[in-house]
Amino acid sequence: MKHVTCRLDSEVQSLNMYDVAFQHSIELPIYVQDEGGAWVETGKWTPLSEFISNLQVKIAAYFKRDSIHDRAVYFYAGPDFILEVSWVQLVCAIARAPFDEQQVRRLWGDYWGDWKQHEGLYQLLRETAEDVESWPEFDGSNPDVIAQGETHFQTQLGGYQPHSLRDGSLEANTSVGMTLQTTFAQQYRKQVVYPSRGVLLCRSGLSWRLEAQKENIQRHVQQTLISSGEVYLPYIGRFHMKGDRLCFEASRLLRDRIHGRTAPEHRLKNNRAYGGEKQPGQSIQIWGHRDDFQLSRLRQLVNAIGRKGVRGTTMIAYQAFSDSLIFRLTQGKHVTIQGVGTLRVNPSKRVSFRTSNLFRKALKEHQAKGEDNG
Amino acid sequence: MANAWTPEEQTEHVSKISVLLKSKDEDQEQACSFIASFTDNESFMDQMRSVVLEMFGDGTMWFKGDKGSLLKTADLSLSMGQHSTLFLRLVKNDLITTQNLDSLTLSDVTGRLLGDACANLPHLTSLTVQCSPRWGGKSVQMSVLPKELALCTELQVLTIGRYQNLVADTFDAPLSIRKLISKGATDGLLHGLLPWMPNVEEIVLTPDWSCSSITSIPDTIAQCSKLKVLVCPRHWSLKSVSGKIGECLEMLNLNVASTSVESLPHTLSSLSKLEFLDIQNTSIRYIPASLLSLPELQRINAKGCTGLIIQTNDLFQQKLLWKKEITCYPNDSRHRSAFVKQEYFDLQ
Repeated sequence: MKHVTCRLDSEVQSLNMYDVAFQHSIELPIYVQDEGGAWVETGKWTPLSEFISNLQVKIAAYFKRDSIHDRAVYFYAGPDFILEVSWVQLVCAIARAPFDEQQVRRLWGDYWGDWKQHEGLYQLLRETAEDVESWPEFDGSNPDVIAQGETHFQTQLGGYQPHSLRDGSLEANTSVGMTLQTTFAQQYRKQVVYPSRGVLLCRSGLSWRLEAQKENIQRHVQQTLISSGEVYLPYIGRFHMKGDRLCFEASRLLRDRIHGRTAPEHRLKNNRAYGGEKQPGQSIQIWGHRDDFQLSRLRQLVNAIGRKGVRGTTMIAYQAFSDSLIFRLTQGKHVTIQGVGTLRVNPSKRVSFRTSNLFRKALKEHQAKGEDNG
Repeated sequence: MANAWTPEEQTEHVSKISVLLKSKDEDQEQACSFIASFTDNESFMDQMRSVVLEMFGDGTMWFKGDKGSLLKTADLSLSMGQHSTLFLRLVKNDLITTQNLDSLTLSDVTGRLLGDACANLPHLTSLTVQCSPRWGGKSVQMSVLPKELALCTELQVLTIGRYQNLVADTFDAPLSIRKLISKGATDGLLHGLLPWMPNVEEIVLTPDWSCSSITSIPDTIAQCSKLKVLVCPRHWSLKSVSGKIGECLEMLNLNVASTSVESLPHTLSSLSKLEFLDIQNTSIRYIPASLLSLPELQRINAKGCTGLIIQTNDLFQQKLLWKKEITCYPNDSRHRSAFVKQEYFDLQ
């Protein structure tokens, strides 16, 4: 392994390339002496950047990926530092002194263990580092380290469960015995049970997030229609494009409610007269990660809308959205889906739909962009 | 001329002058000059003294009946500058005996007024000048620290408060200051004063909401060779500390907590007498081994330095205060990271 002369904190020492790469990657003020004898910042030293990029390629190849991220994956405790390290940093840290005692712990793992006891990590190092022939053998003596599972899944629950405050989390209100509110926004808000009062109306508070969720639903409808020409809103109906014309086809449930037919018993039993799950915010961690695998169309839609946010909240928001929309239509009120159009019930109890100017404008822009690209 | 006054005339003069003393700048100046021209009239001066005494209030700064002899300490900061300006004008016209005056606190005075009075305050050891916070109206700002301050040859402690754009100009001679306290210090003041305080031992710079923060500790810090304490916490714009700080060999305590300093100058390791270093809530990542090995160094407070690279050596663990008080297993990743690192040392 090539050694270079380095200076850290006015102390000059000879380090191997892995050591230089590691110290550079954790942003220590380290300088390297080049061939001319001048001190160069490691960030400006080409051999080091080449060395690191080669290592990245090797690690990516080991994981059968195109590139490797630089997020922290392990805790590392060596003879000098303890810190979180990425894959590249981890390989550099261990390969700089493989015979020293170096402990690692998975980022979401439970045990510290010698690096030689982590089987996957050991294989990675053997395949990506240089001069590994004389390295110590794999140590299988610590069953805790080998058997440990990551608790990663638990930490991701925040992405599935609805937003919560100290006193509880959001819940969808019952849709049996709804009362008419002045506006659709108020109706939508009424359909959500807030866990407490107080800070709800502040920016990034629950009320603000729910309003954002409503906008997300409306934006999703508009964008899906423009891009794929069709979107299905569970319990409400199907929007689809006929040429440049946007059409709406009401669902059986919506038509039944508008005609005043009583909701089926199983829906009333669950307090969901206008469709939906009994407890929309629950059990999302069971299906949220499945990605359209045997999921209902409601869950598929929620997954598509809430992928970047909190799906529990999206699920509750959609429940409130569909309940409010259907209830207001049954009461003879029109409902506007922003950026898409307005639904209303005509005297013959048919649902009519009028496309909004915003949607036409967005469609034209999309078409113009498509022509430009073509 | 004075002797020609009848008692009625004298009383009339006194009442007119007392009105002028309570009024605005120019009238006050005129009144002081008028009094100064009649110092040989003892009965008039006695009457004037009692008027002034009444204005300043009993026992605040005078020994009553001692002909205007001052107490050791005079605090005139509570009258939004009214007493301070009058006091300085009286001093300037040599109408007050300041022999006993040791410590003086003034508010809302201009640099010119202070400069004029400095020649008559030779025994002053502690001076505080500050700008009163005002919610309405315009505050009296001092733009330049007067160069006549060098005439206060016994001045040991200088305290400056809340001046937004105060700068220090050149002085005729070095200042004798040993301690500088500035609330709301600005770059202009610090950079200007440092070369003129060769004897300074303690500099305390605290920020104030009304003033901009300092952005750097300049190279001129090297001229404060007797500096023992430099405290400048919570200056969020403070980004760099000059490497010349390594020439302040007497330094015992350095505090740059809650600033934007990202790295410590390597010359800090030459401060062989350094005992305490406070870098909490900064973005400093690395503590050099040479700094840790300073013989007198007792403690580095690095709490809240989220980016700090934790070293596993004993010296680091002994001298650095970095652990948090975590009583339960934290759920969020940021606190969990600190928890895992702490746990590692507990398991060892």
